[in-house]
Amino acid sequence: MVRRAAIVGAGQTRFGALDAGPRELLRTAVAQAFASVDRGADRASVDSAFLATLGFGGWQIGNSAAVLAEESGVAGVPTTRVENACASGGFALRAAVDAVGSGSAELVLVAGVEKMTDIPNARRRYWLGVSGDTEWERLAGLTFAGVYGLIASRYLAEHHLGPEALTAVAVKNHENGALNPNAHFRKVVKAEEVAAAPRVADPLGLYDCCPVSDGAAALLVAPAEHARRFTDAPVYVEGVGAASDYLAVQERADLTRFAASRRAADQAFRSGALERSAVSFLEVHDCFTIGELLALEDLGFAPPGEAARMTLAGETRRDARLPVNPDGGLKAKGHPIGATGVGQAYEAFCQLRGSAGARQVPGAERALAHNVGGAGATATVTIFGVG
Amino acid sequence: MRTLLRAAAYRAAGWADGRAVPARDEDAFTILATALERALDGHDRAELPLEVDLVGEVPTSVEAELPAITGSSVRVLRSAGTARGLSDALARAHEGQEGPSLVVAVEVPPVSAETEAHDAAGVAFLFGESEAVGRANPLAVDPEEESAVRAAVSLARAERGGASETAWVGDWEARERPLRRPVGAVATVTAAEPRTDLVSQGAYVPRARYRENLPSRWRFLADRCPDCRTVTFPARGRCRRCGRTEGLIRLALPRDDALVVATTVIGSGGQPTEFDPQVEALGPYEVVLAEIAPGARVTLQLTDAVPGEVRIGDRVDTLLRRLYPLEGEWRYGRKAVPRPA
Repeated sequence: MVRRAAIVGAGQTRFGALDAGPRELLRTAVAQAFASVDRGADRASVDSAFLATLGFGGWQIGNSAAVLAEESGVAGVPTTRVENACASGGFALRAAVDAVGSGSAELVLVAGVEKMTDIPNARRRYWLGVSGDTEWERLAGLTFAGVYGLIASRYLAEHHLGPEALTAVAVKNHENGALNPNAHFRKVVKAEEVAAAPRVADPLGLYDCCPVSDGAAALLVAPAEHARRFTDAPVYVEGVGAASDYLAVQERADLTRFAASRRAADQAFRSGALERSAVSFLEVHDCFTIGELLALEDLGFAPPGEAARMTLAGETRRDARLPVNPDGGLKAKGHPIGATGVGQAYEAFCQLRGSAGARQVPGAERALAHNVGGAGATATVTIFGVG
Repeated sequence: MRTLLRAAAYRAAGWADGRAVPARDEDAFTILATALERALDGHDRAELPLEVDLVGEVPTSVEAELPAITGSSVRVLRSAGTARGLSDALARAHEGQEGPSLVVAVEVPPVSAETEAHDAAGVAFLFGESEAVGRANPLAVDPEEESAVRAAVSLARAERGGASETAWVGDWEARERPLRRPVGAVATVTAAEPRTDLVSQGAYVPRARYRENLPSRWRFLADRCPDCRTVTFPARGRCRRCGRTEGLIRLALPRDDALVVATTVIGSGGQPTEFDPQVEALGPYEVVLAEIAPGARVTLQLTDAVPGEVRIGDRVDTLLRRLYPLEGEWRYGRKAVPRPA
């Protein structure tokens, strides 16, 4: 009998170009997660830990999970680093849910961290490509911006669209980020600014790309049956899905659909016996604006090409029918690689408990988080609810 | 009877002072490789070994790369880059023992030479024992000619009359070539400068992994499954559809006439660090995803073209070019060029 899991505590640092190093970031996020547990959680009762991190720049690539245990005051517990590039966080949460489900753990600490701004620019751009296909795409001169540029060109061509829908994603997510005290970018941008920005990987410009951010996030995951020992307002993990795809986009038959996202979404909805219509808002992986359009379609919320129309019509704004990325998304909230998926769960935790402040989605009851590794080689979909 | 089977020429893509000069991503190796692969088109690569007579000043490092281009084991001979050298090489090829042989003349004159216009080019002659397309008579080589490449072009021009056009590949006739499009800066980088600051950081492709991929990277080798007919590119010895590993048929996919399915133009820091020197010298570049055969796609940088020139639905050809320098040597791979209408 598989036990359901619940999130009983969550914390997140600000995302952005920060002074703090990775140890301090972890310490801060974990302390917040413990502080958020209404009835308190004893650090000594943590019996397993997972750290999501890429190890960007080369800081402690090996054995970094031990650092999480140290900085969390739980040194001694089994701890594991989970690395699936930008989807590390989603996969780390999945590992925690599995640990709780199997009965091997009673209170699991999940944290994600990335420190990206403390290395020279040339070295940083080297690292931005390490999770793509290095043997073919990289040698053609592509980093992820380039790969998503290829995907965007294809999407726009297939649906006879101009770049306006991409621009609309950036404008909306900046609007949301402006309301999020933890966001990397807290300023609104105009469509004209987005359109006039330098082209990084045409049709993607600078404002179509997420920033390079530092940050950490942490969660405490317990069996649902014991969740109320910790809090009156647990956030239940109602569905989990995960999948993979060919690493290089050249080996995929379809550029404008991420098979891994589709499979993960179907799994998540099936495991939770849920309908799409039950979801109040989405946290999707918009590392590039095109990513948000693909996500809406891959997750089953829009038919092919329709995501662009929905976005242009304002249907994904925070106060509209289907709010997408109310925290600003990777685009505005920031994208500290390992922390991103954990940060999405943090946002679900805040929103579903009604504590998201100015960016609160009214009446949010169920959230879906979608975390993608690279250009779709790995993906997780997690559904959260308070019912 | 042993005779000439096919002849191919390739002239460098750059143009300066009334002559073909290497574009920035070309060198003696890419010029030689292009002439050589064109001469080998339609030839059964399984015939072993292939004798290759290199006529002209070609770096010795090139010798080790030849099997990755020919798809066979190679026995290398060397001849001087003069008419005499060419004549001797052709005579040897005529007399040769069993198996096919190639005579490849290559010349990359220094850009600063004050002498008369002199193209950077390569010419390759394939000899063997099937239907002749000409003779390439060593006695017909003009002994007064200083350059083996020019002597080879003259010889080919004189002999090709009446022969099947498909056996004569390349632009033999053009004396002056108004550029179809700007080709960017001409070659100023002659050696790969080690960028030690860029070595051994992230996204590092070791020399051995780069070399492991050469058959698929340079010759577009794929595996066709005898059961489900699926083509797996790059070839990895396993059918991507049914998982079969035994009895796969290895084949080279077409180098030319690929369909562009996606494009992007990289600029404003969107490039990997190892492409920084190229961007500094030449500015933004285009990358395309092209279908080289049904079910087989490859990401290719575009060259000899204006970034943005190639669009979805266009067709491209591919050429072996320099990619970027690493640890003191150039990495080579295929790039796309717009396909002439």
